[in-house]
Amino acid sequence: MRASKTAAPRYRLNAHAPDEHTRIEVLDGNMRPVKLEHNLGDVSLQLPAGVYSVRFYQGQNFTEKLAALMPEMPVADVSINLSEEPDFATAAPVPNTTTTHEWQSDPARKLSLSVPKPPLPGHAGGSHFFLFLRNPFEAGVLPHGVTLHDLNGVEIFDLDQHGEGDPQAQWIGAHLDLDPGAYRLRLPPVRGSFSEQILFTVAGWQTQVFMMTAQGPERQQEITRISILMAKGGLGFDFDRPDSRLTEAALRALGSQENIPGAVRSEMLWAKFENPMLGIYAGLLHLRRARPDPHLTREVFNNLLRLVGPLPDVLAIGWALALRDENTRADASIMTALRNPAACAIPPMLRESWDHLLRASVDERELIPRGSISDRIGGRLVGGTPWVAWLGDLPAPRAAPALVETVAAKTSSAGGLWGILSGAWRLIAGATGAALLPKLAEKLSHHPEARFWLQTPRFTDLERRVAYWLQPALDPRFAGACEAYPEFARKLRSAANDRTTDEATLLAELNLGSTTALGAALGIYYKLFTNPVIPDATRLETFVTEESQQRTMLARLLRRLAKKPSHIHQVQMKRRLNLLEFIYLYYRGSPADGTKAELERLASRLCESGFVFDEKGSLTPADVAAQQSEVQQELIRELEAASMPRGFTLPQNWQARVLPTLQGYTKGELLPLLERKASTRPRQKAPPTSQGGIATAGQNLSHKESRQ
Amino acid sequence: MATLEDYALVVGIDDYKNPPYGPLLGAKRDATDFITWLKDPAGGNVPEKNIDPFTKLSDEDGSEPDLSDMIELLMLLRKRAPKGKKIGRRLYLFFSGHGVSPKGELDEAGLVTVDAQDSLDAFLPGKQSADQLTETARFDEVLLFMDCCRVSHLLLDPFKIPINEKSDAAAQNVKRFYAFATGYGNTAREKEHGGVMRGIFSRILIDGLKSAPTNAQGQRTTTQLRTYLQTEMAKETTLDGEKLVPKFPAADDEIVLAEGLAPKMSVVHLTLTQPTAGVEVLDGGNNFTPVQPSDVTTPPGGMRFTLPMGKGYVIRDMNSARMTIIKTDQEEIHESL
Repeated sequence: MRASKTAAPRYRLNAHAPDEHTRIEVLDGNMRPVKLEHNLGDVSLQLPAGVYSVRFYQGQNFTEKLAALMPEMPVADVSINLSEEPDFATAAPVPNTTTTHEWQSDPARKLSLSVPKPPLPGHAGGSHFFLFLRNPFEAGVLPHGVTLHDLNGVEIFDLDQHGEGDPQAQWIGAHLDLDPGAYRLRLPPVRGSFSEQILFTVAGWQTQVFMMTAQGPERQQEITRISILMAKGGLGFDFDRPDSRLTEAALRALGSQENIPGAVRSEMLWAKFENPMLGIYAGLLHLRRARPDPHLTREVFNNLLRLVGPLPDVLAIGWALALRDENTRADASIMTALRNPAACAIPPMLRESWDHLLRASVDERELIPRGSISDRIGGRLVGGTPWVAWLGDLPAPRAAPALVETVAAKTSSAGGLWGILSGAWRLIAGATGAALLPKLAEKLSHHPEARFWLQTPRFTDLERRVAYWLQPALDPRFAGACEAYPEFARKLRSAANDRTTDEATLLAELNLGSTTALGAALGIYYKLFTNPVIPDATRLETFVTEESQQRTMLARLLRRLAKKPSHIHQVQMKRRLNLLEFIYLYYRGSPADGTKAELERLASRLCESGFVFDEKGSLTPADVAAQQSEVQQELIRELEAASMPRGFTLPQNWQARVLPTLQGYTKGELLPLLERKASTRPRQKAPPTSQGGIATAGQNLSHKESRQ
Repeated sequence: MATLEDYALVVGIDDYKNPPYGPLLGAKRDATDFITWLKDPAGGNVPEKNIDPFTKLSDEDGSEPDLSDMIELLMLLRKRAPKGKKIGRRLYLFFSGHGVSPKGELDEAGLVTVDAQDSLDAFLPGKQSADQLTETARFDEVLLFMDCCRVSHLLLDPFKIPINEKSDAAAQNVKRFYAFATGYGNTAREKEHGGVMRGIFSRILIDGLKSAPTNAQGQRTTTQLRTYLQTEMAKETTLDGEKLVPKFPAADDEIVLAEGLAPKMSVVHLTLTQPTAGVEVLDGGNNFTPVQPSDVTTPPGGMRFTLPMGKGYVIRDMNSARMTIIKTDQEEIHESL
């Protein structure tokens, strides 16, 4: 019988912060951290006897209190009062922070209450926008280059030129009257690239944007913190407003995903009636709980919707709840409000909201419309900020693969974009109907030149990211290790095969909307397999069949070209075009272009992919012409040599019909037809087209010539 | 059976050439200083043959180490023993250079390699690399130190380096200590010290490895090192209005770094506000076991004695309910009872 163990007695430690979003850490008597399930606002733990340090954090700064748990003191309540709250750094000059100065908070208040600049030409106004940039550090300067843009990217306000400020007090700001809507705030370039993020103004509200610079002369251009607040029209920035510091605390808590709220304090969420941003922050933080309160969250959502309308951040709260709560999904009124692609065409302000919308887009395919700003920010998102910000100018809407456009043209719009993309895939997959992502992953693993082609300018960064995610062995970052350790290359491939290539994982890991991801996957498929730059074996075989005019000897002659190198090669890939590929490209054009062959276009397409002419380091239309002429001479010689002993007669002026000029070329007449002499027996069979096939340079060239 | 040896894999990268990463000034020096401590018989005491093949400092033309070089280093280390066999007793991993945090991976820090560029970031996930060696129980103890930022220029896709082997049940006994210069989404800093540029975290780390206070048993363990890093970095400087705070994604296990040392003590100056027949000192980290300081003196109106640093204690009046709680995190502590 096992001896029964007496469990060590445990005691209760309750830690209570002044607000819901103060982070709490608990260390034991040996200064080792105690693991917490949630860490914001309130923590209640059952612990063995001992001394404990409780740290209340705001940002990186903390206030520490000690407690002892023992039989004489089985419960310890540890809290700090408002005066003990740690100072932290905030962009908005709110009370009790390390970065607030009266010489900045007072002017901020004054300017926010001033008469706004009149609406811009073409604007009727109706919502107010308050922008305040400051450097709170000693002997600091202000960065230049903060501008406001409309959704199309047109600059509508330049803070440097039209803002008012006080260089001595290290601030500059502006108060504008704008049409209610979404705007792009552009921040000064750092390390060569500016960033942008979305802001919303709402009728009857003042959107307040505070920006704080970094510390130190070497980082003068950097804006390290941004706070966004909203106040009802006419109230301005109220330094003394009790919830201003709470809003900043909630924003800081939102900045780190490890922060999870403890007990619900209704006063924080109710405060949203006056402070929509606090409502959004608190709502998003509440949704981090393992079991969020659906009634409370729905109330937050409905109130926010009533206050500021269907901003993407508000919809994100609704979607996050709907994804987890069946009753919400069954509520037609909420779901109707949530299915709002027009609102989600513009990204939310907060990253947390963006993540919720991406998750929703897995099942709600049309939620993030293609070509919208939300669709175009994927792949350029800035890290390390709670805001949705992207680097550089917004990329132009991506051109859809021609196949997608074809399907779109042929199908009704009932299925929306998702239907079109799915239709395109069904067209490719044919009867197999295989899921796109696993199929693409498999095909990528078997394409011998995929790594090279993916690095050419024909592919977008987004397509590359999706391809490397699907098949990491193609990622150039691993090239050296794969070469040095074949075992590593094998592991990369098998890891890719073992991983889940489902859409939800892809969207979550790559931070892309559903249609964006599928569009990128289709783009890869289209460019690499459907319409590659260099014709594939099937295309070449068809080419040979068509151009040999059912003459075995001509087919053999053409196939033999596949074994002969041209002068045109790609150094990195160690890839040389063979002569069959070359004449295909010359007469039919690159499959990537999908149009009639043109010398200039072909030279440019090959150049773009890094092909050069022998050692020249370049490739011009003249080089392409020279190569054609060389192949022509070779074919003339071969045709002459081959026809004589086999009893063929060559037609008059036949040399001119061997590889004719591009203008004189008609499909199927690349070579002259041979006539058999009367004494010879006519051929009965057409040349086999499936025997051996045509080898491309990347494939095994060991196919057998057909013997007759 | 021969005693298992210790190993170290050390990387320092200053020479970044591709935007947006500019050159650094102290990362290689930090790595070199760490190696000096590793090789010192009074320090890490790690054989040179177990450090040098696994050391990579960036070359001046910024051509290496790239991500593949890093993977090759890890592969090379694994080759030191057949699959499933232990390689050594302890592994030190030290990475200094630019750093990033992959999206959503709160406990991860990536060391940016020289091939990183704007559109395609190349980084070695430090924790993942250490975990893969932990999960396969190739060492008894794994220590990871990363002196790099945890802010991403671009939001980075997480990725898995598939060099893991079959996990080993013995992995649960492997002790880990991971320390990062900064928290998720924050920057690490270099600062001039003694006329040369140094990573603040690395400098304090190496100081701590040499001189962090010991525990009551005369051991310098990762617990003391952790406290030392937290305390000293907070003293060092502020960045954008807040203290510098290191992060410890794995610090629950206690690893003994040095022993047989004189314990570092805090001097407690206790003022007695009421007469007492005596006080007792209880160890708050050891179920309130009574502690008997051997050097109690009784200056007028109080008491003076020493206690090991880095712990919590309760000091209690033996004849009443009066008590006070202290933490020995400073050399001199003034308290009243």
